[in-house]
Amino acid sequence: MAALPQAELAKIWRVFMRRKHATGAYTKAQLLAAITAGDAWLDANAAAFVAALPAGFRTNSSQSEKATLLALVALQRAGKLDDVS
Amino acid sequence: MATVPGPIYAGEADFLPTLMPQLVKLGTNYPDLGLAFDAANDEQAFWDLDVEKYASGNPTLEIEWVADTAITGDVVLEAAIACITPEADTQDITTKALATAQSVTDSHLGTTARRLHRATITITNLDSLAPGDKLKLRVRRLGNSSGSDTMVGDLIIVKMVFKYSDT
Repeated sequence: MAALPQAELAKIWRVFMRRKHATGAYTKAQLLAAITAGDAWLDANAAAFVAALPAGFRTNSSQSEKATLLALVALQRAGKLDDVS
Repeated sequence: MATVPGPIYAGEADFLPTLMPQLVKLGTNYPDLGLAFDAANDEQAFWDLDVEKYASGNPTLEIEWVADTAITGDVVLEAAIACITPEADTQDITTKALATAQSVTDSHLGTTARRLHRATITITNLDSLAPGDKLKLRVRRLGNSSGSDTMVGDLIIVKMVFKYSDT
């Protein structure tokens, strides 16, 4: 897995603002830098996340399923799961 | 000398097929109609204005806006006009171009996201403005093309006032 290309990071940036998640005291540039850093962290720690999954799910799921699982858990922790379900 | 104020409302706006802001209704105790300009695009809206009493000088456009979610950052707003004199100009009204735009950079005052701000643009490129002209106003947020526009989230214009001198 590699870091997301700039166009996809920009898409996340647009969606984040469009869905009114941007309520903090930061600028557009700071938000994009945070998204870039978040993606870089995910890229660097993807193997550790996969290794933490139980074998039954880990060996029988696709990369997309693993990423979706991580995203939905994070959304629920943020109180935002209902926004996408 | 008198200044003629012309209020302009979100519900009176017109749009091109692309880059149009979203019409939104705000408010809990009473409704406020606004136009929400995206932070990542150069969205634009248009209005027809009455300038029957225009005499001289540079008009001003006062833009009253709120941030949808942000409590910091700058926004860049720009205004441009196009004027056609009936019974005189030979210009095809469907191909008329706007005069060079003027812009203003305004800063969010902090504390509350949807507090009301006012940004003022002086219109210096008048496109030969004359009394009774057919005048088209374009207002645009330079969310994409200006690096000085730093505010996250939508900018919502709730009201504008176009002022000019009648002497």
